[in-house]
Amino acid sequence: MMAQLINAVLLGGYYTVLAIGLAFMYSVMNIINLAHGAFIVLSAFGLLILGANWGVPLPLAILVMMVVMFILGVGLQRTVLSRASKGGELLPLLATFGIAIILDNMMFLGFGADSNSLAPLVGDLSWASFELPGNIFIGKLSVYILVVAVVAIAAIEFFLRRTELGHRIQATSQDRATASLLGIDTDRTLAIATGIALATGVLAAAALGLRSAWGPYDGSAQLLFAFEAVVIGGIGSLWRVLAGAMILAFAQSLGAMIHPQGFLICGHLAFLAAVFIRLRGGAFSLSSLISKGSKT
Amino acid sequence: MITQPKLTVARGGKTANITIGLMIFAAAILAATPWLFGVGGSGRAVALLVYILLAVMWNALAGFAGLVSIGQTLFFGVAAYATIRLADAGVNPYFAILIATGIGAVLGWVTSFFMLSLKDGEFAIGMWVLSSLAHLCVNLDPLIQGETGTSLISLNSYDIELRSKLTLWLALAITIAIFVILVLLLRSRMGAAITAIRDDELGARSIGVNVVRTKRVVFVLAATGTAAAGALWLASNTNFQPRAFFGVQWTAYMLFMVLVGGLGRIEGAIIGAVLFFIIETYFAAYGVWYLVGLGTVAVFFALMLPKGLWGWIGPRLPGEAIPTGYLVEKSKNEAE
Amino acid sequence: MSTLEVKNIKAAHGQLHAVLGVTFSVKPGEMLFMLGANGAGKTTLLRSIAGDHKAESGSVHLSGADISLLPAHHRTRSGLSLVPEGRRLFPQMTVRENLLLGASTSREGPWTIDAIYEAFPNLTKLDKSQAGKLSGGEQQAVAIGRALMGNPLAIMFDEVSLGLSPAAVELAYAALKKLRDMGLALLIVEQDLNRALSTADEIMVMCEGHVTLHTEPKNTSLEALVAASFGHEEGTAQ
Repeated sequence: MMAQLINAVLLGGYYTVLAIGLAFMYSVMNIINLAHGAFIVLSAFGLLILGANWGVPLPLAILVMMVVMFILGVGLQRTVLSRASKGGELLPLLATFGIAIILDNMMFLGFGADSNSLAPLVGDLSWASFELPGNIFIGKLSVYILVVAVVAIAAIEFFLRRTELGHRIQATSQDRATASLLGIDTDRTLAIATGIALATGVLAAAALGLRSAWGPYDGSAQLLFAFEAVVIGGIGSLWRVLAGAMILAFAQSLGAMIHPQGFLICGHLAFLAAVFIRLRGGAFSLSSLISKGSKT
Repeated sequence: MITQPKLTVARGGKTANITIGLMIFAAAILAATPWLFGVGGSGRAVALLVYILLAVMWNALAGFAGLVSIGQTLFFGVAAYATIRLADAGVNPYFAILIATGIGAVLGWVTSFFMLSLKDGEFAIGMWVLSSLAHLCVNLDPLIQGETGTSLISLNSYDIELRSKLTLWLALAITIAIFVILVLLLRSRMGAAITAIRDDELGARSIGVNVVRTKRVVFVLAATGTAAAGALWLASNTNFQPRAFFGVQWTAYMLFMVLVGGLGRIEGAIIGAVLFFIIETYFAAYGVWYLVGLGTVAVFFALMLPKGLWGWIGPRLPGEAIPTGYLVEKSKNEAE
Repeated sequence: MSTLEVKNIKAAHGQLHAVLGVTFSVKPGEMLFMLGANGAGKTTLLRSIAGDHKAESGSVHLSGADISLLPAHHRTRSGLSLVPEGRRLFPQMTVRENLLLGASTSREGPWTIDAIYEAFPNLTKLDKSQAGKLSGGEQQAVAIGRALMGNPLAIMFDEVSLGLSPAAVELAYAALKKLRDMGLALLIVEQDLNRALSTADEIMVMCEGHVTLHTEPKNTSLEALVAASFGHEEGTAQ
C-alpha cells in the first residue's frame, strides 16, 4: 500500500512535467496548444537523435533541444499563433490541432512506427531504485522526474513573479493594449513565452523517453494527461498543476487496483469529477472544494 | 423632414431557388445510385452523406455555437456501438440505427449539462476526454473483444444489393431530415439567437439571448447528427473496430471539411464535405502523406482564409444560397 | 518646434466614423485640454495618436520625427505616452512592479523609482502594495508615475479626474503642473470645463469627430465651451 502511494506521487511528478508547458501557455496566452503532445514527442526524437546517433550526453542533449524548441516556439508564435489569435478563440485551437496532425504523421514518415526509448543513453538509471525501510523499492528515475517537476515550477514561478521579463509577460497576458502603450513589444514577449513553453516540453520529452517506450503517435495521450492535470488543478499558479497531476495519478493508481483497464478510465473520471465540482462551485475546483469544506 | 424609406423584407431569392433545385437534383442522383453505379457506388454515396452530416454538424457546433470539439467521435463511436449492441439483442439493424441516433441525442443532452460550462479550449479537449472514456468503456464489453472489434452480423440476413440500397436510402433520409431541422432551426427565433451568438457572444448575452440554452440546442442537434453518421458508417462498413470509430482522424476530417468549406456557413460545410470526398477518393491511397496534406491545408485555411471557400464565393452571389437570414431592401427612389 | 504635432487624423470603428480629421500641436511645457461630450471621439483620437487604434489617415510627429507608421510600443519608445482611461494598472502586481513596467521604453531621463516617490510621497509607503487595492487617487498617481518612468517627451491623459475625489483631483493636477514646468508637452482629456478654463494653456473642444473650438482660455467662456461641445462652431482660432 505504501509503495503504491509513493508510486502514485512519483507518477504525479511525471504528469506535472508533462503539463507545465501546456499550463504556462494557457495561463499566459489563453491558448490551449493542441500540438503540445506532438511537440513533446518531437523533442523526444530530437533527444534520441542527439544521444543515440551523435553520442551527445543526455543532459547536454536536453539543453541543446531546449534551445531548438525555444526557437521553434518563437517561430510558431510569429507565424501561426499571432495570426490565428487575431481571428478569435477558435482559430488557435484549429491551427494547433492541424499542426498536431501534421507533426504526428511527419514523425511517422520520418521515424517509422517502431517503439523508441532513451533509456540506453543513461546506463542503469531507468531501472535503478532506492530501497526504503519496509522493503519498498522506488525507481530512481521517477524520483528525479518529480524533483525536476518541482524545480521547474519553482523556476518558472520565480521567473514570472520576480524578473522584469516575467512581469512583461504577465502584463502582456493581462492587458495587451496597455502593455504595448507602456512600450512593451507584446509580439516579442508572447514569442518568448511560447518558446519557454516549448522548451519546458523538452523536460517532458526526456521523462517520457526514459520512462517507457514511445512512438510518433503518442503525443495525443500525453496531451490528454497534461490537460487533465491542468483542469483538475485549475489555472492560477503552476503549483496547482502539481496538485492536479497528483490527483490524476492517485485516481489512475486507484483505478488500476480495481480493474486492469481501470487506470485510464479512473483518470478520465477524476477529470469529470473536477469539472462537476467546478460547475457547482463556480470557481476553480481545488479552492472551491477547500473553501466549501471549511465553511460547513 | 426625414421620410421613412420603404423597406421590403424577403427571404430566399434566385440564388436560393437555384440551390434548392441543385440539392433536389443531387438527392435524386444519390437516391438513384444503386441503379446508376451499383453496390460499390452506393457505398461511396453513403460515405459522402456521412461526411456531409459530420461537416454540417461540426460546423453548426463550431461555426454557430462557437464550440470547437475535438471529441465528437464520442457520439460517432457510441452510436455505432449502440447499434451493435441493439442488433445483438435482436433489434432489426436498421431500426437499431434509428434508436442509436436517439441515444446519441440523449447522450448529447446529458453531457451538455456539464460540458457547456467549460470554455473554448477546455471544452475542446474535455470532449476528447469523454470520447476516450467512452472508447475505453466500449473496449471493456466482451462482445466487442477489445480493439479486435466485431461486425453487424444481422445485416447479413439481407441480400447484399438490398442491403446497400436500404442503407443508402436511410442515410439519405436521415441526412435530409437533419438538414431540414437545422435550416428550420436557423430560420426560427432561436436562429436569430444563434446568429447573434456567432457574431458576438457577449453582445448577444447583453440583449437577453439565453446563450446556454441556445448552445445546448445546437450541441444536442450536433450530437444527434454525428451519432446518425456513426451508425450509418457502421451499417455501410459492417465492421466495428473501436479505434476506427473513436479515432482522432475523424476530428481531423471534420476540421478539414469545415475550415476549407467555410466556418459558420452551411453551404461551406457541404462544399467542404464534397471536396473532402473527392480528395479522399483520389488521395487516400497515399496514406500518411494524405493526412499530412489534410493537416497542412487545414492550417493554411485557418491562417490565410479563415472564412474558407464559401467566405470567398458567398459574398459574390446575389442573395443567400441557403436562406437563413432576411434580405432587407430599400426602394431606391424613396431612399434619402 | 512642437513636441507633438498631429495632422488631419481620421479614425473609424468599422462603419462608424469617430474622428473626422483632427489637427493640433502641443509645444514643450504646454498643457492642451481636450473637451467634449461622451462619444465625441476623444478617446479614439488619443488611441489613434498612440497607435493603439489604427488611424485611417493623418500623421503624427513627435519632436519632428514622423511616428505615424510605428506600432504602439515603438511610439511609446519614441517618447509619446498615453495614460488610458480608468488607469489600467496591473491589479495583481505591486506598485513598484507597475512602475518598473513603465521603464520598458528603455529611454534615458530623470525618472527613476526614487524620483517618482519623491514626486508622489504618498506612494513610498505603498511600494509593496498590490495596485488593485489602492484608492482611485493613489492609482492615478501610480498611472502617472508609470508613464513618467518611460521618460516621455509628451503625455496624453484620458479622463484624468474621472472617478477621483476632489482632493485626489487637486493632487493629480498639482503633479501635472509640475510636469508642465519641467517642459513636457501635455494633452489632457477632461470633462470639467472650469478646470480647463483655470489650468489650460490651450483648449480644444470636439463634437462628433470634429474640432468645434480651438482657443486659449482667456479668449473664451464657459458658455462658449458648452456651445462648442454641442457642435456650434464659432471663432476657431488656429
